[in-house]
This record gives sequence, structure tokens and C-alpha cells, in this order.
Amino acid sequence: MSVARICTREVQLAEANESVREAARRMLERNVGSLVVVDGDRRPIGMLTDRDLALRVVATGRDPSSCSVEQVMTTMPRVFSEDLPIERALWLMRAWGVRRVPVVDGERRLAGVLALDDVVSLLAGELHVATQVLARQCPAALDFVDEPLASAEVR
Amino acid sequence: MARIEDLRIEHVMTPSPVCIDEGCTLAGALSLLLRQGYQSAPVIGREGELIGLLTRTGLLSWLSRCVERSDDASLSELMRSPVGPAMERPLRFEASAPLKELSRGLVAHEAATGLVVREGRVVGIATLQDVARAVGYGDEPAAPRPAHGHGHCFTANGLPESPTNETTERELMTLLLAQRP
Repeated sequence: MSVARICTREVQLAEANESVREAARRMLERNVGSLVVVDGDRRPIGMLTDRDLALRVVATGRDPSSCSVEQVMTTMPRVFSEDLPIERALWLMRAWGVRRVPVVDGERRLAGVLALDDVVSLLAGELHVATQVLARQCPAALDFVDEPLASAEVR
Repeated sequence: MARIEDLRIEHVMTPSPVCIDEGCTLAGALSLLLRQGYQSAPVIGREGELIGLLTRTGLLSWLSRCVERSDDASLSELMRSPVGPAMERPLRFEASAPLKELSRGLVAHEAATGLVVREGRVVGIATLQDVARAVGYGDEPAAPRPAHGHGHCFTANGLPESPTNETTERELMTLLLAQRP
């Protein structure tokens, strides 16, 4: 299976010349930790992450209203081609230590984003079948699931 | 709006986070994290002192290691044990410290969460998302905030009825059970 099958097509974007404050607000409104920065041809030129905001804006005392996304983004982002197998993508994400990677088409235009959570969801769905078999063979393994439903004491 | 260099951690943190009592079982703690949708929660002692941090990923890793180490390890027995061994050493920040201290600390330690203390007691929890909020909104009260808090401390194995994040729970259960030989 290729990354094109499971990547998210609706990508949250930032423009290189918009202010960091505007981009940070969009991150919060869309509840994401990163935005993909694209050029006029929709080719990825950078990623703006919450880590960039911490390291290159707050830690350095920059004014987020007067500095641009381009000044603080992580440039030259790593990308996946749409036909990359998911297993290879997962291996690369672990090796690179990243959770989200832009996916590009044959002309290197942005086609989506692959998030580690997407891959985990897919694998979990497949593993769920195996879990059901396991539950039949070893029901004690599921004992703990019902315990938290007991009453709670809150102080 | 205050200038970003004038902001202190207490201005951006999520105050009064839900805490886990050190006597709570792993099952109770995991249920708290899953059902309330939290990635992590501080663990506190009898006097309210900060003892550690329990995260979803840390808990999962610890359980996986336990099961790998021992063929006899029963997941259900492990889940009845106290949270202590699965805790992580938390990054802690003084509430009155400048925001840039939180930013540098989280990035330097590649951490997503820091605990905010005042006189040794947990008064808040602060994340990279809070840093992003400060960049976007400064200290504006209208800024969107996560729902983590009310200052409760969960002490038993259970929790009140609340909406269940079934997808996350199923995924975590699947991952946990997949570790079994």
C-alpha cells in the first residue's frame, strides 16, 4: 500500500511572507502542531512547527507580529512521493524523528501530508483483528479493561 | 497585549491540571488519560508534592518492556500495580520564570510537556501548544485553551462516567496486546 492511500489531503498551509502571529493562530484554530509552507506553484519549501515557534521566536525574543514565517520556518523539508510504500515511510519517519511529512506528486507539488497517527491508525485497525483472536485465546489479557469503570474517588 | 519577552510561564500555562495520586493503579491512570483525552498528567504525593509525570507513550513503553522481560508477566496484573515505576522524571519550571525558559527547556529536552510549580506544588502544565498560543495571542484571555484541569486528583482505580475516546482506547489496547508473546 502506498502513502497516497492514507495521507491526509486537506493540508494546513502557511505563506512564506505572512506574519508568524497569523500562522500561530491558524495552528491553534486548526489544532495542528505544524503548517506546510508552499511556493506559488504549491511546492513545499518549508515547515513551520510549534518547535520552531519555541526556538526561533520565543527563545530569541522576536516579535511575532513583525517577523515572517520564512524567517523562522524549517527549510528544505523532507517529502514523500505518493507511491512510496507505507512500510518504508514508517521506517523513514522513525529514522528522521518526525511525525508529519508532506506528500508530493510527480511534479513535486503538495498532494497531502502523512502523519504518524495516520499510520498507527491503519496498523491498529489491522492489529484489531489479531487482538480479537488473542482475546478469544487469552481472555485474561482483557481483564483490566473493565476495572476503570468502577467508581472513582475524587478529592 | 503584552510583549512576548514580558510573558511569564504562569501567563500561558493551563492551571490546575488533573493530577494522579501516587497510589493510583496503572489501569486507573490509563483510563484517566484515555477517557479525558490527556497525553500526560502529573503524579503527586500525599502532601500534594510533585513526584513524577505519567505520559501515554511512557506508560506504553514501560508496559512493553515489562512484558518483553518476563514470559510470566500478566498484563492484567501489571495494570493493577501502582503508577510509580512507569513514571518519568518531569521537566519542572517555576511559575514566575520567563516564557523563554519554558521554550528553551522543552526544545532542549525534546519534551512536549513541562510541569509548572510554585513552592514545590504543581500549579499548572505547559506544552509547546501553550508556547504557540503565546505567539499567536500573547496573554489575551480570548485565546483558545485546552480543557485540562479543575484541579482534581484521582486516587482510585476508577473514574466518573465521561465520553470515551473509543478509537484511541482501541488503538492503545491493540498496541499493548500486540506486545504479548
